Amino acid sequence: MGFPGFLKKYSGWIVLVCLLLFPLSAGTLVSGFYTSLFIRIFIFGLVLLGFDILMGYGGRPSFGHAMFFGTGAYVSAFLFKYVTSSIWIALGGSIFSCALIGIVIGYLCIRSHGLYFIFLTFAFSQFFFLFFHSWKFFGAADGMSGIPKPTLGFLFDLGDRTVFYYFSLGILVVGYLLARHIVNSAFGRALVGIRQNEERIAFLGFDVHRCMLVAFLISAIYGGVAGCLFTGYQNFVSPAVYHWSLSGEILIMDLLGGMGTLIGPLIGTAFVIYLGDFLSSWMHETWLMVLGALYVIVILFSPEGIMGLIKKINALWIQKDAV
Amino acid sequence: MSVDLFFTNLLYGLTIGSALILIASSLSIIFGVMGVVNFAHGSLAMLGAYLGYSLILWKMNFWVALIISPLVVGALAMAIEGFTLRPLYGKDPLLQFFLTYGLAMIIGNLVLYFWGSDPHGIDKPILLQGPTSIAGIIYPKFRLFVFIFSAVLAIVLWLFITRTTWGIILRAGIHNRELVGAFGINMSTVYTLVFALGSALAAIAGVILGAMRNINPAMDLDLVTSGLIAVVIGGLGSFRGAVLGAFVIGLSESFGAQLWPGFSKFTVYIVMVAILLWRPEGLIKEV
Amino acid sequence: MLLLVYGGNPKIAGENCSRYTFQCGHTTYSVSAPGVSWMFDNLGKDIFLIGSDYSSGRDICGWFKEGYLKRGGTIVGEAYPPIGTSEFAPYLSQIQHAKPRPKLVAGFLLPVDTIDFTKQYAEFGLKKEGIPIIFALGVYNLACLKAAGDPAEGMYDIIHWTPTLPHKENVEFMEGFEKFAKMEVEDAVVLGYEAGTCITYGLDQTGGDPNNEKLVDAIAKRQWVGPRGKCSFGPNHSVMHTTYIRQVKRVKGKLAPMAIKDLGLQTTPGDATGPGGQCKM
Repeated sequence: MGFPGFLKKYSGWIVLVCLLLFPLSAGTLVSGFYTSLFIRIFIFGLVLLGFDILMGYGGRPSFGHAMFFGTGAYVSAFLFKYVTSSIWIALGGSIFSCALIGIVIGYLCIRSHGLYFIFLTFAFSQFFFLFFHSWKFFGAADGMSGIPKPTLGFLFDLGDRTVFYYFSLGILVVGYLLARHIVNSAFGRALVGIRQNEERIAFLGFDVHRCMLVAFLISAIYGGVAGCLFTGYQNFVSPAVYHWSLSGEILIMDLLGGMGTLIGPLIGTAFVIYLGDFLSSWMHETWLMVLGALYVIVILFSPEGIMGLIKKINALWIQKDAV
Repeated sequence: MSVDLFFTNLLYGLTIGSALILIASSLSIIFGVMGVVNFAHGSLAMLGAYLGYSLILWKMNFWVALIISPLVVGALAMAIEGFTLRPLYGKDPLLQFFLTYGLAMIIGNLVLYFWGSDPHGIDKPILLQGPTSIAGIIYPKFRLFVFIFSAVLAIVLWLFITRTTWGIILRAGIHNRELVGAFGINMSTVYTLVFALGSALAAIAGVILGAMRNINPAMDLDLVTSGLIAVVIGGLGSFRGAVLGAFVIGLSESFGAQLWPGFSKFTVYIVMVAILLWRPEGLIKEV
Repeated sequence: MLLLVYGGNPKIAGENCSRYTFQCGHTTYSVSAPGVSWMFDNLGKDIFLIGSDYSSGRDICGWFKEGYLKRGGTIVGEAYPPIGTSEFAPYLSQIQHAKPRPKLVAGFLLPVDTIDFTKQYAEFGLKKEGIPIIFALGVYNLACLKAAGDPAEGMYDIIHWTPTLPHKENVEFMEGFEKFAKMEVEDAVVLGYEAGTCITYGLDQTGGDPNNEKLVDAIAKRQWVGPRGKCSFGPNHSVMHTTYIRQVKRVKGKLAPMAIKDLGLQTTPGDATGPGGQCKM
């Protein structure tokens, strides 16, 4: 098989093992700050998994995914502050509320395509933003602070950063396996078919709208779970979680990583978050320029993102081997 | 609401709208001809505003700035179009939209880098400072100017699009690019010029808005979202629709602030969603 | 130990106070509410309130309202534009149509919104009508005046410092800073400086010993004269500072905020009737 082949087959496991071992080195090799960074990567990675199912596989570009992330965040904030600090209840609440929103808004949006879908999802997410920006009960523009730390209910203290790291990593792994299962199923392939040729799939007997609605729902739930973890970690929530620039960032991460590959968006998330952190320390606010430039370059030269680049390199390697 | 207050709100709503007309109509032209939803439109307007501010800082007067700034931005826009948009023609229009999103980030942050984060202002020309009165309602002179100026510019553009040969070529190009090409007209050049024209108009809007309000590095986002909403409400690709959409936004902001203060911004989005769901072609169907 | 350079929430002086937290800058209360008497006596009894729609904006308008009602003044109208409003026409028309005619417009809008508001205020003829604006939190600083220009001339604000304060601590501080950083001194610089001198004072008193308890005890007792004038800490560890009424005037051709009235030492009370509730340390 050779070394590159070995790498390719077990790369997933290698990455996983590295991630599992990472926090143990924190404090010695690298500062605990990076644990924080990874937690953010895991949280956003969850959003991207669901988002990729909708956009990468299903072909519907949502410019409003902040509404699911935000709903998960606010619902969890409310539950943590006023009801219970159990993370399981918060996860359940987030999933339920996002599923509800996902069905209602999804039903309204799903008939639209392309640009119109972008505008619709944008407008709906703006509703949420404006709403929570003005709603006094949820803190209006100031948001909610002093949210108690979540509890696992047994053994470990979720308030500890390392514990939270493993917890969110665990959820991400579960989320990824689930997403992988979904896209490999008949449903997943129908989605791809819809993206490529909607009419034809309809003629094959698939209920296109129902498929897309399910995809929308799935992506909503992933967003909500991520939002819940976000609040659980930050202990603070503000209307910024509903801002459309978040939706834009999600789009960028998906495209940069490689739409429709599941792994791609995860790489994209890690890349953008790490790059953002790295650059913002010496470029302050103007690092967004670099991100924008990268985005433009990727769109012009490699619209399939980082995964596309990897595939091309892989193809070249195989060619070389064959010769 | 008293009759007096009603007319005041009406008048003010029309003013808010007229400031938006230039942005919305230029956005609409770019989409109508090129099929590109230019998310960087607000950033180009902002660039125009900052350039105007710098020109005035270098002791030029308002009117000179109003002419030079759009010329510079227009030239820049031609370069942007050539290097970034042109390679994408014929490909997925979504990709073009995402590209302009990236461009908006770049331009927005370049502005921040060169001009800093403090807000600035453009002083209005002395002639146009202060209030005047229309039918007993006190009205700022400068806004009257903006209203008339935008209306004139919009009418000129409308006449250009409908009455001149170039205008007809533009509209034909929307419907069938290849056929127009077959007539020997180079659509690439047309696209570049349209993009430059649209961006120059955005720059003019930027300078004017800089005088009406303030100039800050976040203004591009607000402008582009308002512009997009206006264009969607009016109908993508329809020039008259963009103008109408701008007025709808202006009026809903004006009356909304009076009637539902906390929720005035909602009304615009409610209209937008309603249009997208039940009449996606927008309020005006452009033939 | 937490030294707040500028954590202006009055609750930190009240319910959320702590032995280990010092508010060194000011609160939204200490640079707004103390101005009410002067406003009532010098500007007028009929007031129109306007505040950005968030906690600080609403709080400040609330304190002005309370103060005016207590003195028998009239609230002619209230408006709370959302944060980020740049189009004030609807609100200005409310002011124009308010009856009885307001003698002043008071409250607080975020800095960028203040610029738009002030410019449009003049455009819509309200400045000509002679109704002054008075905002809390020192909005008419040099950066704002550069952007707003002439429309801001003659307007008032309330804050704890102004660049033109003549006492020697301020003059020395400004000269020293401009040489050191080659930047213009703004309010934020003063806030940082005041908090910084608290740290150095504390360490001086404890002889360099960074023991928390000793530092807290030392800083709590500090009384000093800084760029703002006389300062000390109240029992709730919220700063006592001088509050000034400033007016924007043209000095040597440039617009600058001049202190026209010294309101004396002000602080944020930490009792049950105070803006932040009862402080229990």
